[in-house]
This record gives sequence, C-alpha cells and structure tokens, in this order.
Amino acid sequence: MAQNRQPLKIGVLGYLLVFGLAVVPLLTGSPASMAYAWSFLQMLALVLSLNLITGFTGYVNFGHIAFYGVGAYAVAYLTTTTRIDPYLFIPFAAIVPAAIAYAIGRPLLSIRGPYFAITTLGLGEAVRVIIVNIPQFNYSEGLPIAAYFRYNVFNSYIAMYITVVALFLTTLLLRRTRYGAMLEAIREDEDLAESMGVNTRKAKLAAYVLSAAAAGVIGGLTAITHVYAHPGFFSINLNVSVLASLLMGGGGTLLGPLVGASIFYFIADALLIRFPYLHLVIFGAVVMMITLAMPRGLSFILYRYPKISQRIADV
Amino acid sequence: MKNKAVSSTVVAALLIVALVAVVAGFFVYQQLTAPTVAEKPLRIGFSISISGDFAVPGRKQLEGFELWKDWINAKGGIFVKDQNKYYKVELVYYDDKSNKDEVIRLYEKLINEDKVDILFSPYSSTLAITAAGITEKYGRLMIVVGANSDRIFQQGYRYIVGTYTPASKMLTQAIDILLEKIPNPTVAIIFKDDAFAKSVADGAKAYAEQKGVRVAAFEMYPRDAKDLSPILTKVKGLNVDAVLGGGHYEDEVLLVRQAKELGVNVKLMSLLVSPSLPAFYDALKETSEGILAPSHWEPQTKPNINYGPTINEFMTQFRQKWNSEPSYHSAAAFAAGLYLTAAIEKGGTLDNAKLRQAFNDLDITTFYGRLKIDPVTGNQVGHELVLLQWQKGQKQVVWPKDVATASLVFPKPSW
Amino acid sequence: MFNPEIFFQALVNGLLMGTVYGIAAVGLSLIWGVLGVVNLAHGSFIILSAYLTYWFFVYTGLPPLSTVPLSIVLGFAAGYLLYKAVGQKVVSLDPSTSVLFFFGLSLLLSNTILNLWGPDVRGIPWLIQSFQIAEIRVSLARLITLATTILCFISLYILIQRTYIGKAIRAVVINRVGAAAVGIDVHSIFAVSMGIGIGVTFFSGTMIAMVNPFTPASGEGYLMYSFASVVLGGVGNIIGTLLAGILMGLVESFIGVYFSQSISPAAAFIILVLVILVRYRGAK
Repeated sequence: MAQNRQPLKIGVLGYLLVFGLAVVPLLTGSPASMAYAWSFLQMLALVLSLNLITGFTGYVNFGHIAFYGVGAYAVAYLTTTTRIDPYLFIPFAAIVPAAIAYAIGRPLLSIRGPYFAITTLGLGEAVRVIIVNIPQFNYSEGLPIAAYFRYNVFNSYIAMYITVVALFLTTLLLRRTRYGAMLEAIREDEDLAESMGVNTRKAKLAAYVLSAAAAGVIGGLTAITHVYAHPGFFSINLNVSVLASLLMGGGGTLLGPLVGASIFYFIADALLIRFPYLHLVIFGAVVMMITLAMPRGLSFILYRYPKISQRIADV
Repeated sequence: MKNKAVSSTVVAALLIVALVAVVAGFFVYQQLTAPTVAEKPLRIGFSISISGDFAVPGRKQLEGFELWKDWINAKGGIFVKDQNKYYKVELVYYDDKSNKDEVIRLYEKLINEDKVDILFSPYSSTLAITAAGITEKYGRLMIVVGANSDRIFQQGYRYIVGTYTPASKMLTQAIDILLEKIPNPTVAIIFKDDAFAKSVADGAKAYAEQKGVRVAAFEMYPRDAKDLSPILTKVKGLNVDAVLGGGHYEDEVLLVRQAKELGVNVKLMSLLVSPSLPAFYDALKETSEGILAPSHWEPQTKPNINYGPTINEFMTQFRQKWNSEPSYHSAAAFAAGLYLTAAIEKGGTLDNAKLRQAFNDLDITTFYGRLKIDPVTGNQVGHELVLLQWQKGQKQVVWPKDVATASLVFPKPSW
Repeated sequence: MFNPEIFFQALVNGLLMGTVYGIAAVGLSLIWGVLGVVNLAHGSFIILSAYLTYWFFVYTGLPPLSTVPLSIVLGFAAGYLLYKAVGQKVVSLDPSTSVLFFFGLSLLLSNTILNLWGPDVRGIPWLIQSFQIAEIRVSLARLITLATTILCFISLYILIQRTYIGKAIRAVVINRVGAAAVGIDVHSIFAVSMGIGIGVTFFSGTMIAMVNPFTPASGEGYLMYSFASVVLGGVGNIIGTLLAGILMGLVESFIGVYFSQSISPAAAFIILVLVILVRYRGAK
C-alpha cells in the first residue's frame, strides 16, 4: 500500500470543492437547493462514518443502521419528554450509540469476515424489534417531533455540513496518523498486524465506537430534519446503499466515500426520475458492472495510471 | 326636407355605429374578463409506491389519480377565482419504493425543486405520516389518501386533509355485528408490526372494551413473518368468537390459510385490506369463504351524489383507460382529486393556507361517498366504511344493511 | 398450566415450517462453503422460482408438486450459466465486493420479477387442508412439502457423499488449493456447485410457493432466515444448515406460543449471536 501514503492531493481537493459548492445554497438561501444538497451531505456523512470501521479495518458492517436509528430515537425521545430544542440532545445521539457500541463491540469484533457481516445484519433488525415493543417509543409508529420546536432549514443544513466537515477531518487524520495505519494493517492481515505488536482489539473497538457515534449524530440530525424518528430508520436497504456506495467508491480512502456517495446519489436519482418502473433493474445492472470492472472501487482507477497517481493520489 | 333626410341617414348610421361599438365593447369587455386558461398547469406532486411492499395499492391509487387528471383536464381544468383562470392539472410523481427515506427525500424534492402547488400523500399510514412531517414543515397542503392512522391527525398538523375513514374505526362495524349476533362475545386482535395495523388494532381494542367485549388476545406479529402458526395456535387455545386484525397482503393471505390449516374456527374473521382485491380470492379460492374486511368503497354502494361523476361513469372511464377493475384505492384517489377541485372552486384560490380553510366548510357527496373533515385535525369524519364478505367467490357488501348486496353469512362457515 | 395439545401443536408447526427454512438455506450454505461468496441474491432466486411455480400452476393446472423436476433443472442451469458467465471473476473478488455484486443481482432480479408479474400477492390454492391426529392439526400441503424436502435432501446428500463430483466438492470446501493440487478441476467444480446450489434454492422456492403466499418483495425475509440457518448450522455443512433451519422454526413456534411472536426475531438474533460467539470467534 506504499502508493497510498503519498501526500494528499486529489482527495482533499475533491472535498474542498464539495465544501465550496455546498456553501452556495446557504448564500442563495434557496430551500430547494438546500434540501437537495442536504440529502447528498447526509449520504456522504453516512458513507464517511461507515468508512471509519468498514473502510479502514475491512469489517463489513451491516448493522451501522442500528446506531443511526438509536441516535434518531435518542434525540426524538428526549425532545418529546422535555419539549426543548432537539439540537441540545445531539451529544446524546453520539453518547448512547457509542456506549452500546462499546458494550457489544468487544465480543462482536472478535467475529471475523462474513460471520461479522451476517451477525451485524441481524443487529439493526434486533434493535428495531426491541424498540417497536417499547410503549414509550410508540411501538411501530415512532416519535414525531414537529410539534415541539420550530424547524429551520438553515440550522439543519449547517449542522449536517459541520458533521461532514468533521468526518472529513477525522478521515484525513486517520490517513495521516499511526493509528490509521494500524487500522489499515488490520484490514490487510489482522493476524500479522497482531504479531507485529498492534493491539488490534483496542484499535478495532475504538474505530467501531467512533463510527457508531458518528452514525448516531447523523441519525439525530436526520430525525430533526425529518421531524420524526420511526422504525424506518433501521432500514437494511439504507445500510446496504451506504455500504454499496462505500465499496463502489473504494473503502479506507479519502476520495472513495465522496466518489461512491456521488455515484449512488446522482445515478440512482437520475434513474428514478427517468425510469419510474425500471430504475432498480437498471441500477442493479450498473452495480454489477462496477463491481466486475472496478473491484476495488472506482477511486482506484487512478492506480491504473501510476505516473498520474504518484503525483496526485492518496485517494 | 333634404337636410332632414340626410340627418336621419346620419342618425341611423351613428346609431348603428354606436350599437356596433357597444356590442363590440361588450365582447371586448367579456373577452378581457373571461377566464383564460392558465399558461402553466397546476402541479400536484406526490410519491407513490410503484415497487416494494405497497406496490399493489400504490399502483391502484396512482391509476385513480391519473384518471382524475384526465377527467378534470377534459372538463377544461380547475377554475381558480382569484386569478380568474382555468388551470389544467399536471401530476408530478416518483416511485418511493415503499421506503420512508425515499418519501422524505422525494417530498423535499417535490416542494423545493419541482415547486408543485399542492401535494397528495403516498399510500400507507407509515409513509404518509412521514410525508406529513415534511409538508407541514413547509406549510404545504397535503390531501392524505390511502392512509388513515389516527396518529397522522394527532400531531397538531394544520395542513392535512383526510379522505379515508380513520383507522381506529376500521373494525368497529365487525364488533357491532358481533354484539348484535351473540351475547358477551370475546375477540382476539392480532396485527402486523406496522403503524397502520397498530392504529387499527388500538382503535378496535378501545371500541371493544368500551362496548364490553372481552379482548382475549391483543398481539403483534413481526413484519417479515413467514409463519403465523405460533400466534394462531395461541389464539386457538383461547376459544374466541372472532379474530380481528391483520396487516397488509402477504401476511393476511397467510393468516387465512394457516387459520384453516390449524382449524381455528371462529364465528367471525375480519381482516384489514387484502380481501378487497381479487388477488385475495385467487390465492385462496374457497378458503376465502366468509372472510370479512372493511372497505372504503365498493362499486355496489349508492351514495346520493352531489358532486362529480356517477359510479357508472367512473367505472366505465376506469375500465376504458386501464383495462382493469378499480379498487377502493383508485376510487379514493379519484375522489381526493374531486375533493381538492371542490375546495379550490369554493376557496377560489391556490393559497395553501386558505385552501385548507376552504375544506372546513366543504361537505360533498361524491361517487366515493360523503367527504367532510374535522376542522381542527383535518381527519375525515364524513366518510363511512362498508363491510364486505367473500361469499361463493363473490365479493359482497354486507354492512351497513341499507347498501348491502347480500345478507351477512354468520357465523362464518367452519373451514 | 401445561396443555399437551398446544405443546405438540407448536412442535408440529415448528417442524413443518422449520424444514422449509432449512431447505431454503441449503443452497446458500453450499455456494458460500464451496465458492466462498455470500449470495445476497439468494432470496430473489427463491422468489423467482416461486413465481415460476405459480405460473406453471396457473397455465397447466397441474399440482405444483409436478413443477419440482423442472425447477431443479432450471435452477441448475441458471446457476451453472451464471458461473460460466461471470463466476470466475466474482470468486476472485474480495468477499465484500462479491457481496456488492450479488446485491446488484438481487436488485435486478427482484425488480424484474416485479415488472413481469406485477406487485400483487400470489399464492397457490392447492390442498389448503389438514387432518387431525389426537387434537393436533397437520396441514396436508405442509406435510407433502416436508416429505418432498426430505426426499430431495437425501438425494442431495447421496450426491455429495457418494459420487465423484460430491467428493470433489467436499474436497474444495475443506481445502481449495489442496484439491487443485490433487488434480481436481476447481473451476468446473465451482460451476457445478453453483448449479446445485441454485438448483436446491429453486427447489425450496417451489416448496415455499406450495405453502405460503408471496410477493416480489418476499425474498428479503427468506434471505434473513437463510442467513441465520447457515451461520447456525455451519457454512458448507448442508446437514447442519437443514437442522439449524428446523431449530429456527421450533424456536419461533415455541416463543410465539408461550411468549409473544413479536419478539421472536430479537430472540432468534440473540441465539444467533451466542452461537457465533462460541463457534466462530476469530474464524476467518
């Protein structure tokens, strides 16, 4: 992975471009473009948060959505009980999922490969089932919070913007620090990393907790923007979409989540509008072709041209 | 008297000119003030489930919307008084894949990007309550069709208008029948893990308890359940008079099938949504005998229509356009369009807040039945359900008695 | 108060449904064990076969049981050809990337089904009857499904245990490189295994069509049950997978009867996690 440690160029550039473009809706103040850009930023944030665990350590996580949902419910539940500004509860949207991740992370992360993936596949559903059996959370109906605060599109947009920037900086940091290199070593060969003195357990757990906290915050912000927390947050389809975006873009990189989220968001959207009946058939075919043509993710296309990649890479 | 003759000619000419001028002026005046056709159509946006769990009712509902659009456009559009214009209707819709995340994204898109004027809700309570959060956020009017969970209308939302009879009332007729037929009935209420089914079950439980009917079981089954024998075995052991509840399609058909296989013999069995569609009978054949379900509309009903087309006209046009039979989803969608038309005509505006006010004073009876909302919540209070029952392969309306096409088979024949 | 009727009824229900869960998972287990790929499109294959069975039933009016040979052959052909077309490439991918490939395939398949057959719920109204043994009700269609499944499974077992191909498949499961070293053509074994795997999956789809209603979206639920059975029973271990499926059916049945069915997915998950923790700690 020597070429991965080149000075950061194109990845950072890509994000700076996106952050620049994402300021435009704020300046024009158009709620239309803000709502559209918000959904994109949310997708990007989810992909970046999943990248922390799945991208860096290679643990394919189908249960990311559990933390996203828990974050949403944490904010909504506290808002409905206290009736004060839901943004105050965003820290809880990080703390509660992080605590759960810490509690279950140790045994869970001792499972590897596809077994980890399958176990986490059940996690989101299990949390969902627990929540819909709890009266305080209104069973299957969820917690609408529109009545408790005044929704403001600016606040919601700025909050998501800050979240994405923070996740970008975290990823950047991981790409540049020894800790990030440890996680990458786990991805490449966990046993080897362990034998070389990496405390893999601690490293994995930290990444898992961090990623859970990030997912929780995104969930909390989404609940505020949707003015509603409901069992639909634990949607395995969303988890698979986020995972697909990450893998299509290229995991463990900086550029990968950006590329993946853009493709998933814009292509899926364009197909949805053009082909109301066939969009998923076509999208399925597109995903298959991408995996066959670019198995390490689209951002790795750069490495096909070593001369260029050495100058501009760290994707 | 040459002069006189000349002057009389002149006078006559002047008179004619004046007359022409007046007439022309009148025409010009009329022309100037006559309603014109607006250059831009009225855009009505919604998301609808073309794929996913709600694709069946979603597609039926979409067919109803489309037919209404054709119908109103063939009539020249909707007249909006304060602009003195006729608006043609354009529908802007996307597939929400029966998925809440999509609903949220699409309603943001419809409002902000497509700049639609008014919205319809997606099908199903789960999706509609999600969409309502968005439309409310922007203060946009949404006609709720295909969704009736009471919780949608308990959020204090000020811009929603219901068209279905509330979910909490969906099983009350079945309980009324039980009370009429047998003394001290006991019921089991079982329902799918879903916002709509939960709302119906809660309503049924409250009504039963209020009427002194014993609810022996009140149980939920998982969304993806492929085997309902556990819950049915439990119910069988309780020896109840009636099983009420269900969820949507796959699970309800499975419920009937396994109830027969396990010999759960009850006097009355009422499901929620699947029996109104022919696919229910196709999947069960004679096993469907005697199964009841509420329906928001059936073609056999005879409302005293004072607005819009007759049932016959609707049926004919629907068959012509879609080459299939309409379900109550299609009828309700068409009626929602009519309801909106009536409100725009009455309110004379497209301003969403004023339109919502206009709905308050509206009380119309369309081919779909009466429509009138509660002014505060926007929930539907005028519309009445009918109860249908499968009898010898035919779907019959059996309740209320004045619109019944066949008499109720009670108790349900044992399997 | 213990009621033996309810207990035995729950036992019978669990066994009948569990066999369906079990056989539905065998194909997934086999493909995962032999090829090392997780077929996320498994549920879509099941439902595809269910629709084919339904279609056959509607057009011929023959009992759905007569579709069994056809669906096995079609499934085998589909699996074999899929491997021949792209399998070699897919197997060489990183496991997470091959999951993504099958995710694409599953979207493609289930939405093609939706567009071909429409969204309506379908079911085959064949033998919706039951008979009674001492207060215990046994569904006829489910009993026939059970018998057919056992028959099919025994044939599969003999195929795997007694034939050359079966031995080669087992060799590949145990050690892919070693198998190649002793002269087994690994790629043709892969192709045949994929064929057998999808063939069994199609068979299970026909069984499901005989007893349960289904829609184009039903595959997801069966996929979840199958995953749980495979992991419980052991990847590539077809007997273990079948038994795990039966266990799942029993657990669901008893939880539903004695507690509440609404918590059975959570209970199943907890059992799954415990088993995984004991069995697969550190496994790759």
